[in-house]
Amino acid sequence: MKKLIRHPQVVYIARLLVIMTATTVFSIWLSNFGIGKENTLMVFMVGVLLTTTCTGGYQYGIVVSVISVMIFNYFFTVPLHTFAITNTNDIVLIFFFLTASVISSSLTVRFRKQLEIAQKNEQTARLLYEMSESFINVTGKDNIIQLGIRYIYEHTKYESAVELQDETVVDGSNGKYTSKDYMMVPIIGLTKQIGVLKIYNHNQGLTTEQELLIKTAANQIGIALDRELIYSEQEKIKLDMEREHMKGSMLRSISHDFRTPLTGIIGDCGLILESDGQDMDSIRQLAGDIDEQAAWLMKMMENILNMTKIESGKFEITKEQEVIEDIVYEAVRHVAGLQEHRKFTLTMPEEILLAEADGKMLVQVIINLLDNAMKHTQEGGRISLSVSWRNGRAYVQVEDDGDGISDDMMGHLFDEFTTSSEGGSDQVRGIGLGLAISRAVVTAHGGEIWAENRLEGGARFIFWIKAEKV
Amino acid sequence: MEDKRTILIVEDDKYIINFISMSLKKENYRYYAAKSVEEAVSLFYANQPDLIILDLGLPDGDGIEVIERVREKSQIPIIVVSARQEEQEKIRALDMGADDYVTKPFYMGELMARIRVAMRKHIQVPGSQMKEDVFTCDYLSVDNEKRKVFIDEEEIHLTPIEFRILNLLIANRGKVLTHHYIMDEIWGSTEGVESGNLRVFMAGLRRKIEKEPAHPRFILTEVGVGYRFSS
Repeated sequence: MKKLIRHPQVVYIARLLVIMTATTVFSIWLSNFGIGKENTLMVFMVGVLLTTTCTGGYQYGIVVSVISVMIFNYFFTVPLHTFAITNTNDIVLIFFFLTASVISSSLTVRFRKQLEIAQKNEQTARLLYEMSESFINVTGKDNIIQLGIRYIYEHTKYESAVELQDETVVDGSNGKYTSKDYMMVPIIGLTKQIGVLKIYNHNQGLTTEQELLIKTAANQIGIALDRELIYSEQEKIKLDMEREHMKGSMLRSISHDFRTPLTGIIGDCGLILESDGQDMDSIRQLAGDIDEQAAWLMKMMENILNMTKIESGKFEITKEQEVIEDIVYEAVRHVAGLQEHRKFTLTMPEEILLAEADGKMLVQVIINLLDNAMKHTQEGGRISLSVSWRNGRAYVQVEDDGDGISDDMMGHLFDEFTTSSEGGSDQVRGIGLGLAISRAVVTAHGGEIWAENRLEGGARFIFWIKAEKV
Repeated sequence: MEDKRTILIVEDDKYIINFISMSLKKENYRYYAAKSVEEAVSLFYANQPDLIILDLGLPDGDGIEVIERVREKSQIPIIVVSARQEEQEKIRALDMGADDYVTKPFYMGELMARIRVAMRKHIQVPGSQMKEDVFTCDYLSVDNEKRKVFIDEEEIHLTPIEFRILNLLIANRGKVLTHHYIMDEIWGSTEGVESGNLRVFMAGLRRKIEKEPAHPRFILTEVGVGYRFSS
């Protein structure tokens, strides 16, 4: 029974019968009051129109018109209760009734169809709109593609896969389909094809709507991916420009700062070569100068090398468990003149501190801080290095009694190419990479580094990294 | 002429060969210079040098290849000279059998000192004397038989592992021992042994035998590489 009801034709016929019976009963009831047959026909006309609207096609309207005519003929025309017609008037009446009902029912049907089409179009339009809107908010290549595949699946029930030209493959069907029963739709960006969309429709063809939906999805994927591409390219260009700018200022800085010691070295060598080897003392003095300047160049080069590592984004620290005191002692050993020309004090905690760290890089940080302290103190000045431990952090502190940090330096102390030697004496040289590297290294260890002026005068640099007591 | 020691320099930069050979001549060593892996190996076979100074970056290959081929035949000291910043290269060279390393730029005095230490060590150990009964150096003395360690004649207590590490260092004095090597020798394998462990033991050991840990007399740390015992 239920199956029967589901069949639309059965429903339509049922409706038709109900409407027919109702009209017939109503007209017979009306005729009891002496209402004329022209009006009775009007009732039947209403019945025909009702049937066409309630059923699905004008064939029902025609059937109803014919039945109505027969019922009218049977009940209302003379001779009553026969299908014969004697009155010419009645024939004309019936003829026009038929014509009118056929025309009106076909009009109704056409109207209905147009309504349906309009509704469907609206639905499709809304769907497409929703889809393109949702693509706006999605970022990330995979997300965009997943969204497209999901939309296609939701509205066509076909699974699909996207293959991009950069060999990204996102398969919405989990690789279930290996055979060639798919349809390919190109995914086109703003300027060129960027991939294909494969629809696993089992070679069954698509309805116009499905095709429209799939093509729109492909277009939207293309546009969204292009947008993504353009965005990331823009970012890259921006980064490249910054890097280029960096490189430029670095090269200028380097060539300027390297020229001075190189001039010195060449001059010293010239003097040695020209001397007849008699004045050993001055030769030794010149050789000492060469040595000093070459060592400075070496140190700068190492810093630049570290800096380029950081700049190129390939800055990787290889952490191992290191004992902090090993690192500190190693650093102290490498700062020339620290023990001889300054009053240097070193304070280490009793306990052994163990940290996950890149030993070599941390040594470099401490060397940089100590070098800075050397640069900013006079012969015989005080420099102290102390290590302490609090709450899982090892604090390393370098203090000096030099000239301290000026206010306008304070803000960008750890930026690249910040030096205090601008217009200053030749004695204090540096291209301002040391602290920038130090900060990069400490940050890479998850720690912090900062500087302050001591109340007693001079500067204090502190950094901490995670460490544990053993 | 017989007492002149022969050193093979493997290096491709003529300025560096120049100043190394000048210093060697001054110190009364005989030397040969090789500029490639092949030349180095053939000069090694032809002249039987007492020591090799080896640059790792060579035009026709890796200096480590030289270490491999020399070690097939001989245990003569090899000192690696490297411009490379990468610790891994040095560690690899040491693990392959090199005795020591210096990083460019270096001072000649430093290299000469390393050469002297390596030579001394090589002569001292004709196979047998790996374990002296009593080792004495400066204020430190280690009695192997009684397993006792003295600082200025005063006995100090070492844990068994500390004692073994100290012994290992002394037996290889002058030579750089990598973390990996020490852990392998002491714990038998590096599996499951935190490298931090070794560093903690070393720091503890240093506190016990060094008078001034900031300026160690005996146990020198080569950050990122390993340790060396200086005698």
